[in-house]
Amino acid sequence: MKAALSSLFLGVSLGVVFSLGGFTSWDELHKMFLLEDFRLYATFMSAVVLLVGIFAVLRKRTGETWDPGVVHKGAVMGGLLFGLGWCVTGSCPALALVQIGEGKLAAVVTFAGIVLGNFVFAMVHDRWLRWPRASCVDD
Amino acid sequence: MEHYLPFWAGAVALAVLTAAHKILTGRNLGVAGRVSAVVDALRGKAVEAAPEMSEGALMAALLAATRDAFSDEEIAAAEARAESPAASSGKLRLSRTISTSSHLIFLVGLVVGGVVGAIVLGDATPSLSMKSEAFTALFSDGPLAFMVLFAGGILVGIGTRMAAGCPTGHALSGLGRLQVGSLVSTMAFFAIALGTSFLLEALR
Repeated sequence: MKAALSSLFLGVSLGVVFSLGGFTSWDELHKMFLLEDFRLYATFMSAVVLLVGIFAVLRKRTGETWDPGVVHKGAVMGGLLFGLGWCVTGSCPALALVQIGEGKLAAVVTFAGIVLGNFVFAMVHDRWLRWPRASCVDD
Repeated sequence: MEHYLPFWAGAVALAVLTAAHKILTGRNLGVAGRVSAVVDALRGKAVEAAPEMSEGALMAALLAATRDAFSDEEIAAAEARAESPAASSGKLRLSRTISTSSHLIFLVGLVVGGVVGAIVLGDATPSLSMKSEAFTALFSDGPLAFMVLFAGGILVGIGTRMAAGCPTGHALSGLGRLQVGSLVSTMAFFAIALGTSFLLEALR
């Protein structure tokens, strides 16, 4: 029950922040990609700077040590495919859902594509590729 | 433009929520990961729907049902007692798993958040579009627009699964934890998104 409530709280609040922040606006994203508006970059980079500090404190409290991790096999190719889809749809998996809530119902089509693409790559991966840790469920 | 949050407010909100996600759920924020988990549950379900259950499948179902019957805290506590030396040294233990129903609740929460956001911003009227002048200028509002969204959606789905992350997973929690793979993916998706956007405007 507590897990469900925290999921609901996190989902709703992130949705509100993405929406009020303009991350779900195709126009705002397009202006960011065309380097015409730097508000989203500033938002993003400041959030990362804050998080570097927050995660450092959390690590101290949990006793985890910092590990730079590995570059997954699909990091570059997957990043490129995602980036291409991101700039034409104005969506990532989270944003498409928020956009649907905002009444931008064309995003239903985007989300259908996202689920299909995820499903197909998961099958292809399990059948032929079998890269170590190609799922980000844990990340 | 002015009616969106100023950068500092958005940054504080995103950072706090990303950290809250780690503390409340024990997992790093990553929406693509949650979508992947739900997709995997769908795929797993398709396999389990076979008429007769093997012993392995039965054990897996039992384990899942047991996990559902207990709260995450109880399971975490039991696991901590069983194997974690950290528990006895008084350290905070954050690593946990999230159930499929919680994933779905989170995803529905995003939609609800969008409704709230749109009401606050003053444009909640549903429309079969992206409500974007620039998008319509590039792709019109007919079949082409929907084909672009569907094809682009497929690319987003494949890409986030392949790169094991999306902007929330890689750029927020990944860069926040100073992960090299996240930096590589983030640079890749920003580079191509910028390049493609400039190209689209040049071709228009």
